[in-house]
Amino acid sequence: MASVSQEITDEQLMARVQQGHQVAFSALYDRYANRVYGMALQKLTNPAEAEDITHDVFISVWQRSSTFQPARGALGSWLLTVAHNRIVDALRSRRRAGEAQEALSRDPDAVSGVAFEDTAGIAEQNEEAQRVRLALETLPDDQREVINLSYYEGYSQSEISQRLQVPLGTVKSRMRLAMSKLRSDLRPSGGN
Amino acid sequence: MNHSQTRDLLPGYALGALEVREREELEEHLQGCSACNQLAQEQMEVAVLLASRITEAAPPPGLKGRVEDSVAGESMPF
Repeated sequence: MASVSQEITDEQLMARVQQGHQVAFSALYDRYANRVYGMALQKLTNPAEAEDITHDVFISVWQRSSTFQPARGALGSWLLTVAHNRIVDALRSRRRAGEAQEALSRDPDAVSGVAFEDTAGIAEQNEEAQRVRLALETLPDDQREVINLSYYEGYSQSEISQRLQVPLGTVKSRMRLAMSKLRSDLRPSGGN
Repeated sequence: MNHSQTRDLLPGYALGALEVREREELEEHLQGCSACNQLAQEQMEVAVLLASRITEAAPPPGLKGRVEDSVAGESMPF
């Protein structure tokens, strides 16, 4: 069976996957499985569920590989967006079934604080993570809150609107401003 | 979904904060609109940085084989 070099770029790897190259797909799994599983485990906290979601994410990546267009962005962004969407869908489904409802409704003000300060699994793994933490700290509280509730806690815009008792348009506006500032602050040094 | 509606939803899309139906409609638009897709990529790149704060974790050893078995049973991805 042909091997896949570690030096091959993500985009070259994905081109092979798009041709149905299963060895390339296995190499893709090796590159991203820890990030996907870590994300699933952090959000779902249940190893068995995290494993099932990680499986589903990679099957989805295989099935949807033809929709990936390298000219439109990096593979990592695409793959992790697919993964994140799958994970938050599962989280919301479980939440709506009531399993997490009691804990989450106990203290609405505490949710964002927990999300930022002590979300399980978040760690300063590397320099990039520290840069992100610092960038988040410089956001106005209301903008940081919607980032935490959405990205780290898996709430939809509508759910955030209800939880914070602010109009949906306000939530969207805070997200837009927060993402704009984060993009500016996290732009690689030497960039424009 | 038009360009304006799409662009209004892009931050929420990158953050995973859209409802399923909104996301599907947006993705359908993105498939045919390179300008909106470029803006989506910019948002997604920020979201990926947010993911750097999440600890990586090794999945159970058997998962890779399970994924490979599932893919082997699938038709070609096109």
